[in-house]
Amino acid sequence: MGLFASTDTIRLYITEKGTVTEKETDIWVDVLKELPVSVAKTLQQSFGKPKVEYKDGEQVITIEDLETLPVDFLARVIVGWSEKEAVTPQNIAKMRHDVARNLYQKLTTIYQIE
Amino acid sequence: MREVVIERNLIYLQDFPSVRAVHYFQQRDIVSFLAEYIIDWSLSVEIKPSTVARLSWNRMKDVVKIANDELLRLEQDTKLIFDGLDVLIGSKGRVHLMPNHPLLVRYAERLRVCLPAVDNECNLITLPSGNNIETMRYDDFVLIEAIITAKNHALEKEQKRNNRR
Repeated sequence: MGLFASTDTIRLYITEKGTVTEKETDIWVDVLKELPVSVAKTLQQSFGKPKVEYKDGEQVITIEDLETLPVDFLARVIVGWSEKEAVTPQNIAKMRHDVARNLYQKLTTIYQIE
Repeated sequence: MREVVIERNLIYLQDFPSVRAVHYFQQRDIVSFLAEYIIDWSLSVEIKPSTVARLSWNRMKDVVKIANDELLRLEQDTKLIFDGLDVLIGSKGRVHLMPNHPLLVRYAERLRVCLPAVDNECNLITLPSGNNIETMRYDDFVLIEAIITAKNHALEKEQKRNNRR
């Protein structure tokens, strides 16, 4: 294993309820197995500028747009899906919000993003 | 430079992030930041943004954490640096800081290089590190700023004293 991110992909399946599952379904997305630095940059820049405060000597960071889903990031990690349309930020934005949110949460686990 | 080993690969980092690296860091442009912060490595490819972009984030986030921790500590020490240097320079040797004062413990080595870099008229006459302002160590940049502020403050006090006479 070197320093470069693998270009392999993994397939995630989506249930009718919008949750991510390992059981095969007709709805799936292929995502990058490893996160390259360039995509991590896209993710970090997706959220609004954080507000930094100090409380009791500890740094507290508030990110106002935390509820917004990072569409550009999803468009970069999703390399294929079961839909006919191409994977573009515009088409990602048309996804069901619960599917996109669950998918994003799954990706944060896979990529170990805090 | 400091050395980090990741997946049996050697990565050499700046001793302290440069002014340019910190600018990228604050913009959250981690690709440009890493391309600046990493000065050498054992990989057989050139260090440039297009190469850095392909690195695995999981393996590089420890490198980013090193810089983040150092910058955070410097940010927390900013008041200490400015106040300590104001006392040190403003008193013209009448007040001494104890050897275990945090300013001396943490920054004595850089102060040895930064203090002579500013003349008595608050001009930066030599760079304490790097080839220009952008490649200067960021901690040196903060120290220089504090030294200039303290010397300006001392000059103002001197002028006020002279005006009263």
